[in-house]
Amino acid sequence: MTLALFIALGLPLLLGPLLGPLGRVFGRRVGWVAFGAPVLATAALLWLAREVGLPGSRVIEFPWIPSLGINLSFLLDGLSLFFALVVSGMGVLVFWYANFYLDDHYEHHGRFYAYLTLFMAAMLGTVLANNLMLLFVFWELTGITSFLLIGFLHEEESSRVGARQALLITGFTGLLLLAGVLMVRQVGGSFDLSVLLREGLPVGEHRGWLTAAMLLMLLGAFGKSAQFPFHFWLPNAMAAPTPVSAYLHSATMVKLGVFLCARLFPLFNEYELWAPLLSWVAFGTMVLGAVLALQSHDLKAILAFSTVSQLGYLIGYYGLGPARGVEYDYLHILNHVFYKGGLFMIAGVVIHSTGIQDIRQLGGLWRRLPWLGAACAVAAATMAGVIGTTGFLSKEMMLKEIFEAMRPHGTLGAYAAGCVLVTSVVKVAFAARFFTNVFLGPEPPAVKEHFHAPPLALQLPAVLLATAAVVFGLAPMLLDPPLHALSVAGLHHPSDHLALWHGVTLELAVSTGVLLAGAGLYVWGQRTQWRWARISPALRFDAFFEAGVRMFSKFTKWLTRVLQADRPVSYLPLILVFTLVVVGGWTARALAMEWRVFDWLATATGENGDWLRAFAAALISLAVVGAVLLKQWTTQLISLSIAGFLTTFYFVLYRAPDLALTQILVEVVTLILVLVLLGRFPRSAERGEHTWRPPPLRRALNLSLAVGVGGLMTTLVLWMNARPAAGRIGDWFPAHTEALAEGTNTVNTILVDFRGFDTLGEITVLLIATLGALGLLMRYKRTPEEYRQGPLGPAGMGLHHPEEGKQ
Amino acid sequence: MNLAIQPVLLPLLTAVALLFWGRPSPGRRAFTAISAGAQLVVAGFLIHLTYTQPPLVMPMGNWAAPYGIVVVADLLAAIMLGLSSFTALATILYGYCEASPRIEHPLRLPLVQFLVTGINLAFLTGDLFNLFVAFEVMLIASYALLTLEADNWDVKQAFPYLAINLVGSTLFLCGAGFAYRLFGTLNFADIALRARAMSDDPRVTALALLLLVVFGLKAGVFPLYCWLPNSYPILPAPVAGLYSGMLTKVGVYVLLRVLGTVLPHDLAGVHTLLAWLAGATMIFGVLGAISRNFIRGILSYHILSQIGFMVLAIGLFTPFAFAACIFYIIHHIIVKSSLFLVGGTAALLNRTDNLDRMGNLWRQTPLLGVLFLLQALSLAGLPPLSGFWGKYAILVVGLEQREFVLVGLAILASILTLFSMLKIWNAAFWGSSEECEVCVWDWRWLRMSRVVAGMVAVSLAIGLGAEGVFRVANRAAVQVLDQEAYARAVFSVTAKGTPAGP
Repeated sequence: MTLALFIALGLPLLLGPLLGPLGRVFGRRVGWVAFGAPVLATAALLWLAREVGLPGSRVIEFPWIPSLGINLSFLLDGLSLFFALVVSGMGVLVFWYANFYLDDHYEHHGRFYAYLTLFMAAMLGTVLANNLMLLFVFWELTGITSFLLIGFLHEEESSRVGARQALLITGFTGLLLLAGVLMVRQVGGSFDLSVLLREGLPVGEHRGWLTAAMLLMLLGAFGKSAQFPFHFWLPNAMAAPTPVSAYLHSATMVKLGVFLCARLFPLFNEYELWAPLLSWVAFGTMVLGAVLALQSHDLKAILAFSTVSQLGYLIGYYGLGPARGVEYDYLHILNHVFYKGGLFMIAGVVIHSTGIQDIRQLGGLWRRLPWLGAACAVAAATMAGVIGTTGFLSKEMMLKEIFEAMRPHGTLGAYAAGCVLVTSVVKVAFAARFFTNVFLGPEPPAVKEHFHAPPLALQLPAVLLATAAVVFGLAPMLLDPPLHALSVAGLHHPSDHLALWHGVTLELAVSTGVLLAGAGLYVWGQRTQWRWARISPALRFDAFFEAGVRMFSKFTKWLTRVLQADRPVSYLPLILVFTLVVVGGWTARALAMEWRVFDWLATATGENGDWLRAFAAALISLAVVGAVLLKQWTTQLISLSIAGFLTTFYFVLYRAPDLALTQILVEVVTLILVLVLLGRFPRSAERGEHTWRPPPLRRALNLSLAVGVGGLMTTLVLWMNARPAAGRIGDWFPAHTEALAEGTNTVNTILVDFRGFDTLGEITVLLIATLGALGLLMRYKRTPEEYRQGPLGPAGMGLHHPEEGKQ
Repeated sequence: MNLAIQPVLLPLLTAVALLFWGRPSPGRRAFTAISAGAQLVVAGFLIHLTYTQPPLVMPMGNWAAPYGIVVVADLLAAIMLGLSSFTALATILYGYCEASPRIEHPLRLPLVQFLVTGINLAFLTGDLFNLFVAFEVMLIASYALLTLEADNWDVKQAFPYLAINLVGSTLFLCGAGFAYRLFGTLNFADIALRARAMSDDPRVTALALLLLVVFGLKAGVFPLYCWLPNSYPILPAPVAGLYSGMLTKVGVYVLLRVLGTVLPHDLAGVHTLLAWLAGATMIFGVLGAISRNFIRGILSYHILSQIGFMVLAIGLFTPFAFAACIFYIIHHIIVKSSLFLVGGTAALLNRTDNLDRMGNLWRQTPLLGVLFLLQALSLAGLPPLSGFWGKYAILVVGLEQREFVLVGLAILASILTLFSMLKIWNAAFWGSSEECEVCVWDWRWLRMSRVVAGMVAVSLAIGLGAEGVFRVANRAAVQVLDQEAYARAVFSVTAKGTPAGP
C-alpha cells in the first residue's frame, strides 16, 4: 500500500521539478512524459480503493515533525478516495487535452507540465491527508502552483493581476484556515482527522472556541472555493490556458472548499452557526454567480461564474444537510465535473480553433465541429438539468432535499429553495445560450476567416465527459455500487437507489417549470440580443480589490513619509521620545510610589558634597550651556572642550591621575583635529548653519527632549545609587592587584590584565576606525555625468568602475 | 586549546593577516575562503559539542569569573556562530563571483572579517561590558564597510546609521554603568544569581527597559528602526547579504540572552511591552516594504517585519516561544541573506533594481526565478518552506496565550509580506517590458546564482527537516532559560583569582 501511495503522490511530486529541465530536451513532447503521472496515479488509486476494503478506512503514517505533532499521515476512506480519483481521473483527460492544446505557439512546455504535475500531486496530498497540518501544507501548495499556472502567460498584464489576486485571496484565507486548525488542535488534542472523527470534539466550555475555529476554517474553504465575498478571483484566474481552467478552476482545486466542508461536516454540523453560515453565504453566492454568468459575454467568464454558482450549490448542500448525514453529495460533484470540465474543454477547442472568446462573435460551428457540437449540447443540457442527464438527477435530488429541509430550517430553507429555483432558471438560460450562440446560427465572417480545424484527439476528452453525463443520466443504477462503497460514516446517510423516474412528484413539476421559465428567459435574451447583459460596476469586486490594492500602496507611501523614515534628521527625536516614554515613564511611576527622590538627593549630596566638586560641576554646566548658546562654530567647539577639560578636574578629585591625563590628551587631540577640519570647510557652510533655524515648535521639542533625557539620566544615576549593591567586584580588584596581578596600579592591572580582553577589543576598534578613515579617503567618487543619470545600480556591482565597462 | 574562543580569534587573525597581504589577489581570496570555511567547521563542531554537553567556558587571561571576562559557548551561541560563519562564507564566495580581484577593494575582505569578529564576540561573551566592546567592534567595522564603496550620494545615507548607532552605544554604556551600580557586577552569570533576589526592585525593570531600548535599536524594533531601511540599500550586494542576515539578529540574540539568561524571568511588563512593540514592528515593517519600489528597499524593510516575529516570540516568553524564536532566526538569516544576493544578481542582470525598469527575468533566467520564488515564499511563510514552521510555532504560542490581536497581526503581516514579494515577482520576473534587457551574456550571474543555490538548498533542508532543527532549537531555548546551569558552568571553571561564588 505504501508503494501505491508513493506512486500516486510521491512520483508526481518528484517528477514535477524534473519536467522543467526536461522541457528543454523534449520540447512540447515533454507533455507525454508528464502524462504518465495521472495515469499511474489513477491506477494506483484504484488499486488502493480495492485494498482498503471500503467502506472501511485505513491510515498510513510516516513521521515527519513528531515534536510538533505533524506527520505524513494519510487517511484512505471513501471521501478521500473519491476526490483523489476525481483529481487523477480528470488529470488523465486534462493532460491528454493539454498535449494537443499547447501546440508550438506556446513556449516553455516543460514549465507548464512541471506546474501541472506538481499541482496534481498537491491536490492528491490535500485530499488524502489525515493530518490537518499536512492538509494545510498541500492546500497552500495547490495555491502556489495555481498561481504559477494562472500566470503562465505572464506577458499579459491580466495574467499577472489575476494570478496575484488568486494567490492573495487563497493565501489569506489559507492562513485563516491555519489558525482554525491550530485552534482545533488546542482543544481537540490532535491534528489527525482520524482521531478527531473517532473521538469527536470536546463539548461544553470549548463550544465558543470551537465555533471560532469552525468559522476560520470555513473562511478558508470559502476563499478556496470562491464563495462570496472572495468569489471574484476565480473569473480572473481564467487568464490561464484553458486546460488549466478546466482542471484547476472547475474540476478540482476550487472543490477543495467543498471537500473541506465534507470533512468537517461530521465534526461541526450540529453547531448553531454551521447551517446558517454555509447556507446564507453559499446559496447567496450561487445566485450571484448565476446572474453574473448570465451577464457575461466571454466564453470562459460565463463558465467561471457558473462555476462560482455551482460551488455555492455544493457547499450550501452541506450546510442544509441533516445531522444523520447527507446522501447525494458525490452525485452533485460528479455531475459538475462531467459538464463543467466538458464545457471548459469545449470552450478551449473553440478558442483554440478560432481565436475568439466573445460569445457574441461566435456561431455556426456545428457544421465544422459536429462531434464537439453534440458534446456541447449534452453538456449544456446537463447544466440545465434536462431529463436523461446526470444534471437532471442532481437537480431532482437537490430539490427533494431542499424541500425536506424547509421544515426543520424554516426561513433558511425557504431562502435556499428560492435561491435554487432562481439559479436553476438562470442556468437554463445561459446554458442554452452557450450552446446555441456558439454552434448554431449563421457563421460570422470572423470565424470563417480564423478557423482552423482542431485535431480530433483534442475533442475526445469533452466527448467522453459528455458521454458519461448521458450514460449515468440514463442508467443511474450504474452509479449506485460505487457511491455506496465510497460512502463515509458520519458524513453519509445510506441513500435510496438512484432512479431515472420517480413518478410524478413535486420535484418533477418544479423541474419542468424551471426548464420552461429558463427557456422563456433565453428566448427573451435572444430577442433582445443580450444587449442588456453587462456586469454592473457595483458588482465588480475584482475592480474594487485592485483599487483597494492601489490605494493601499499609496497609503503605505504616505505612512512611510509620515513616520519620517526618509528624513534622517527626524529619527533621533523619535528615538529619544521613545526612550523618555518607556524608561522615563516607568521611572516616574516607580518613584511616584516611593516619593523618596529628595532623600537620595540629600544623601547623595551629604556623602559626596564638598564645595570643590559642586564648583566643578557648576563650571561644566556653564560650559555646556555656552556650547548651546554661542553662535560661532569655533567658540562652540572651544566651549565644549572646556567642559571636557573640566571633567579631568573631576578625575583628579577622585584620585585618578592617569584617567585625568588620558582625558586631557583626548581633549587636546580632538580639539586640534576638529579645528583644523573646520578651517578647511567653505565659509558658505558656516553661514548656512546660521540661516536655517528650525521652526519654534521644533526648537521647543528639541529643548524639552534634551532637558528630558538629561533629567532622566540624572534621576537614574541617583536612583541606582540610592541603594548600591553590596559586594561589588570593584572592591576586589584593589585588594588583589598586588598579589595576583603583580601591579600596584589597579586601573592599569584592570586595563591590561584582569580585563585585558576588553582592551584587545578596543584596540581592534581603533584599528578598524583607521581603516574606515582610509576607506573614506580612497572612496570612488561618481562623476557629475554619472550623477545626473541617477543611481546606476547597486554600489559595488562593478558597474561604477570604468575599468569593468571596458571588458 | 579551548575551542570557545576560536570563532573570535580566527576571523581576527585572518583580518590582520589580510591587511598585511595587501593587494587583492586570487591567493588572498583563497586564504580568506579557507579561513571562513574553517570558522564554519569550528562552529559546527561547537554545535555538536554543546548539543550534549553543558556550555563551554573560557576565562579570558585565565581570570576567574566574575573578576575576569569569560567567553561562554552554549548551544544558542554555537548556533548563531554557525549561522554567522555560514553567511559570511556564502557572501564572501558570492563576492568572488561578482567581481574579479582586479577591481576588488583591498579593504573589503579584512573589514568583513573584523565585522565577523565583532559579531562572534557578541555571541560568545559572558560579560555585559565586553558585550559593549563587541558591539563597538561590530559597529565600527560596519560603519567602515558602509562607507567603503559608497559614492557621494550613498555616503549621505550612512550618516544617520552612524549617528543613531552612536546614540545607541551611549545608552548602552549608561545601561552598563547602571547595571554595575545595581548588581555590583557585570558578569552575566553573576548578575543572574544576584538579580534573582532583586526581582521586585523597580530599578531592575528600569534597567531592563533601558536595555530594551538599546537592543531594540540594534535589532530594529518599532519605533527605533528608522536607521535601517535607508542605509542597507547602499551596500554592495554581498556585504548587504551579510548585514541583512546578521547585524539585526545580533540584537535579537542579545535580547534572548539578556532576558532569558541574565535578568530575572518575572519581568512580565517588559515582556508584554516587547510583544506589542513586536506586533507594531511586523506591521509597520511590511507596510514600509510595500511603499518601496526597488528590490533592496523592499527587502530592507522586510528585515524589520521579520524581526517583529522573532521579538514577538521573545515577548511571549515561554520555552517553546524561545525555541520558535531560535528556529525563526535560523530560518531568517539564511533566507534573508540569500534574498539580498538574489536581488543583487537580478540587479546585475537588469542593470538596475528599480522595479519600474526591470522585467523578463523569468523568461530568460528561470534558475534565478526558482531561487527567488523559494526564498520569497519561505519568507512569506508558505509551507513546507522553512519560514512557515517558525511562523507556525509563533502562532501556536500566541494562541495558547490567547494573544488574539497579536496572532491576527502576525497573519496580516504574513499576507502583506506575500503581497510585497509578489510585487517584486510580478515586476522583475514576470514583467515583460520590451525595453528591459536581461544581460544574460554577463556570465557572472550564473556563478553568483550557484552560490545562492547552495544557500537555498540549506534553507530547503531546514524546511523539510524541521524536526531536527526544532529539536536543536528546543534544547537551545531550554539552555538559554536555565540560569542556574549557566552560572554553574561559568563558576565551575577554575582559574586565577578566588574560586568565586556568590
